Amino acid sequence: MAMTLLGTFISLLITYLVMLFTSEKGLRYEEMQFITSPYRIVFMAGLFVGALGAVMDVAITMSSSIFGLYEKNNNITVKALKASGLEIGKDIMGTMTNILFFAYISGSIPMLILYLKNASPLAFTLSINLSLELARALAGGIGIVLTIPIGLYTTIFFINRKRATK
Amino acid sequence: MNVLMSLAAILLILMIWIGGKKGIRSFFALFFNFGVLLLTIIFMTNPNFNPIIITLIACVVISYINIFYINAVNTTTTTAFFSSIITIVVLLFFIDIVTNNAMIQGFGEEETEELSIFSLYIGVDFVKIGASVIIMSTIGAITDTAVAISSPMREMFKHNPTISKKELFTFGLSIGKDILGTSANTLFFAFFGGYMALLIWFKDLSYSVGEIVNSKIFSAEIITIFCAGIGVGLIIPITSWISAFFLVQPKEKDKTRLHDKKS
Repeated sequence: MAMTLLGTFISLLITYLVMLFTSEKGLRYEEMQFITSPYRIVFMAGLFVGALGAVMDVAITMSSSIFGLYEKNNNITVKALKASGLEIGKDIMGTMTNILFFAYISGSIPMLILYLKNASPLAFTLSINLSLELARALAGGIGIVLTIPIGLYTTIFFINRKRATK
Repeated sequence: MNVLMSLAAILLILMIWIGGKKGIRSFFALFFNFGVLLLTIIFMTNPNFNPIIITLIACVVISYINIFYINAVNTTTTTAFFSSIITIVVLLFFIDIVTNNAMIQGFGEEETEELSIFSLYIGVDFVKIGASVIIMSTIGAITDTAVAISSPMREMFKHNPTISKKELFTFGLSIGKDILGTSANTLFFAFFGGYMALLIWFKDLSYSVGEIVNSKIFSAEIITIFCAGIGVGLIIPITSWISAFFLVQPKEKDKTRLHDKKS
C-alpha cells in the first residue's frame, strides 16, 4: 500500500517536473478528445490512474514474492533477499512496460489510419496523435521501474521489523 | 529537449540502474515494438491486405521480441512463445465474432466533431481493424502472463523432478490465479486512465446510465477490457498444459533410453 502510493506519486512528480522544465514542448493537446474541463488536469488525472494499476501490480508481485522467500526460509540474509528481489524486478520490468505501452498505443490505431489515408505526413500524424499516449506509457514505465527498489526496501524493512519483534 | 525525449531518457537511466544489461534490452524492446506497430499501421492502410492477417504476423513478431529478446532462448521462453501464439489465434476467432456483432468499429458520435475535415471513404475495413485493435491491446498482457507462468513452473520442475504432469499443471493454474487478478487490474486501470477525459465528459454533460452504456466509445472500451481479461484467463491453462507437456516429456524419453541401455 505504502509503496504503491510512493511509487505513483514519485512517477507523477517526475513527469510533472519534466513537463515544467521542458515547458511541455512536444505534447500536442490539440488532439485530446472529450474535453470539458482544463486539459492539463484531465491529462494528469488520466496519467495518475493509468500508472496506479501498473504500479500496484508491481508492488504486489515484489512484496508477495519476497515475503514468500522469507517465509520459506526464516534465516535468509537481507543480502540474499535483495539479490533475488532485484532478479524478480528485472524479470517483470520489461514485460510490464510493454503491457502499458500496447494498452495505450493500440487505441489510437483507427485514428492513425484515418490520418494516413487522408494523406497526412507521417511525422505530423505521429506527433499529433501519439504524443500524449507515449507520454502516458513512458510515465507509467518510470513508475514501474521506480516501484521495484521502493517495493524491495519497504518489504525488507517490514521483514526486519518482524524479526526484531520475535 | 521535449517532454517525450526527457521522459524516455529518465526511463532509460532508471532501467539501466535497476536492470543493468537486461534493462537496456527491455528499453530497446519498447522501441522495436513501436517500430513493429508503426509498420503494421502502414500496412493496414492498404485496403488490399486483410488487417487481421497483418495483425497476426505483427503479434508473432511482437511476442518474439517480448519473449526471446528480453529473456534468452530456452525451454521456458519457447513454451511461453508457442502458448502466446495459440492463445492469440484462439482469441482472434472469438474477437472476430464479437466485433462482427457488437458494431463497435470506427468512431463514436463524441469523436465525430474533429473528424469533419477528413474523408471517411477510405476503403479500409474498420470492423477488422476494430478486431486488431483489441488484439493489439491484449498482446502485452498475454506474453507477460505466459512468461510469468512458465518460468516458475520450470523452477518447480527443477526442484521436484519426480512431479507428475497433472501436479505440474495444477501448480501452473495456481500461479495463474494470482496473476489473473493483477494483470486484469493493470489493463483495467490503463484503459480507464486513457479514457479519463471521456468519463469526465459523461459526468459534465450529465449522461444517463443508459446513454453511457450505449455510447459507442464506452462499450468499445468495455468490450476491449473484457476481451483482454479473457485473453489473460485463456493463456493460463494453455501455458500450464504446454509447459507440463514439454517439461515432463523429455524425462520419460530419458527413462526409456536408460531402459534400452540396460536391456
